[in-house]
Amino acid sequence: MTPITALIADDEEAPREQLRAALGRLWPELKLVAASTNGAEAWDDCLAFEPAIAFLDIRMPGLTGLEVARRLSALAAPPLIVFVTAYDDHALAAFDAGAVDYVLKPIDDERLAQALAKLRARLAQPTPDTTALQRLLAGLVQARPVARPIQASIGREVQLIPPEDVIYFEADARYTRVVHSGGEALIRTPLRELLTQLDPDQFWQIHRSVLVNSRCLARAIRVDEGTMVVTLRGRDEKLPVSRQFQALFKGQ
Amino acid sequence: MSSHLRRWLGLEWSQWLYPGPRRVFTPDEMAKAGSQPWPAGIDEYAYVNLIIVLAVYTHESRFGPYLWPVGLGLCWGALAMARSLWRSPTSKRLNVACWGVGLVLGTGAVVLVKQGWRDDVQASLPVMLAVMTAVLSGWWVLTIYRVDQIESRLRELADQEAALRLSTRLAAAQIQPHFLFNTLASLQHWVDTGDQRAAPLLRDFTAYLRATLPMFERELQPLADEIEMVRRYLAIMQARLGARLSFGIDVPADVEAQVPPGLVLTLVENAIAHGIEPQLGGGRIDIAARRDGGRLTLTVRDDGPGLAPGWADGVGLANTRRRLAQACPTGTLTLADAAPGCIATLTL
Repeated sequence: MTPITALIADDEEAPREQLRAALGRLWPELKLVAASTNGAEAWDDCLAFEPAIAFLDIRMPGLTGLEVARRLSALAAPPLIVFVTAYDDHALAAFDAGAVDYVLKPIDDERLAQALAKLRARLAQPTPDTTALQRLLAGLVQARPVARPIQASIGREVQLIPPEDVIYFEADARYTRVVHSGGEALIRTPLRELLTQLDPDQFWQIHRSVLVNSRCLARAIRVDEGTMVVTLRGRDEKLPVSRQFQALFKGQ
Repeated sequence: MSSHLRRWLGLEWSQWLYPGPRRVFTPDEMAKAGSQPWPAGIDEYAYVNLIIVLAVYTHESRFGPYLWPVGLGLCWGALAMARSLWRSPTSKRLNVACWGVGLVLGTGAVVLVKQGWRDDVQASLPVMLAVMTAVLSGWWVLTIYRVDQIESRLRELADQEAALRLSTRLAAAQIQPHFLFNTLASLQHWVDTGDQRAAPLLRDFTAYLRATLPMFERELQPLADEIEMVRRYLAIMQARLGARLSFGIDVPADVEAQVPPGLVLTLVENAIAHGIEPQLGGGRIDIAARRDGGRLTLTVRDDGPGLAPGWADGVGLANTRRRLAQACPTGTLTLADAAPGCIATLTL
């Protein structure tokens, strides 16, 4: 049997390690695939490792735990989410009744054991419907401030690209490629950091390494059971849609 | 019988001898609670009544053409006096006015009698006395009412002030639960694992709690105490955030001042929450103070993302401004973009 996988995310070292130690004591068979140190990393690690369970701190830089959860809940097969927080934020009452659990820091073994029992029971069931959770999270996540222009250095000059002019971003080995209405540029900011500064309703992530402006999308084409591509208005290239994000294109 | 006598003697006879309120307000109290405008309805009410009475009695009057101008003139005078009592409701002013009216009317009557109007004066005496009594009683009631009004307004303001002071002090003393439990989480883990970092963190945390918990008992505290509290706070945050936080405190020992407790701490908490924690790579906080002349300037600077467009004071900052205004009305607090980051400047 393949082991059950989990991810933990907390921006502070000690609580992260405390959770790791507690999980080791209470559920030794659980396989930790990542310990992320901020929200942007947590989201990227979730895409890379596809854990079955994600333990998310709520207050994290980059993306908050709520924002990561919101993005996760839109995926084809989202992980089960347990929030880990220092204080009983008012929002948590809603989660307590909903599809996910929460534990308070400092972590109490007894309370964590209860949450783990719930998780085991939930893992045995078929994938739950997350639309209610999605709606709840959408109300809790605060709007991002206005996005600043993308700054690309070309030789001695810095080119400023307004985000609405960008057609798509693609992660390269060490850079992020910015394809915009006026050409192409390379920037150093990794894609996973960039996506925290952009409006998720305007820029859709369709692959771990591709972020596309939704206004430039023309059509989504299913190639075979697991493969999908999108085409863009007035452009020839086709961009891949990874399995996790195919739920974005389901027709209305 | 004797009980009747006692009750009669026990009446407030001083009102008969020297009518009017005993409470005297200071100019400050008047400025604070006595600025209500004169109710203009009283003027209209008095004139309308007077005009009706004059219209009814015009043909019976012995004064002929003098009745209207004299009647309206007296009414205007009585209302002018009433307005003056409204502005300054004192027994002294009331008594001067009453005695003045008595004197003028008495003298006028004597003069008229001497001039050969004896019969007319005698005939109108009851009416004149009735009018005079009505006017004087009106002034008296107005003055008593006005003093009562100002007194209750002052009481109301004092109650509000006390409630505000209490609430701001309690709010100042409130420790952020997130801070508390996150710190305990680190401490718990380091104690469990025998980590070297546990002991200094516990020491800083204890000192921080000792400094912040009695905060609401004091209105002001020396700047050095406040800075020590801030230092402990930053030491705790540095233990928790590790390399993500660095800080510098440059407050010379000879810069002395009294500050409302928690004022600088709130600014530093804001710098952590908005300048350091949202940054993936962390950042730096610098606190500096200097004195030029009589003014103390203290700055808290971070190198975070700066002020968000359209930002507004949160609860903590609004509270801080109120406490600053209470403790030091000439003090100022401004926030500005510092490129990079945000700088909060406090002057006292």
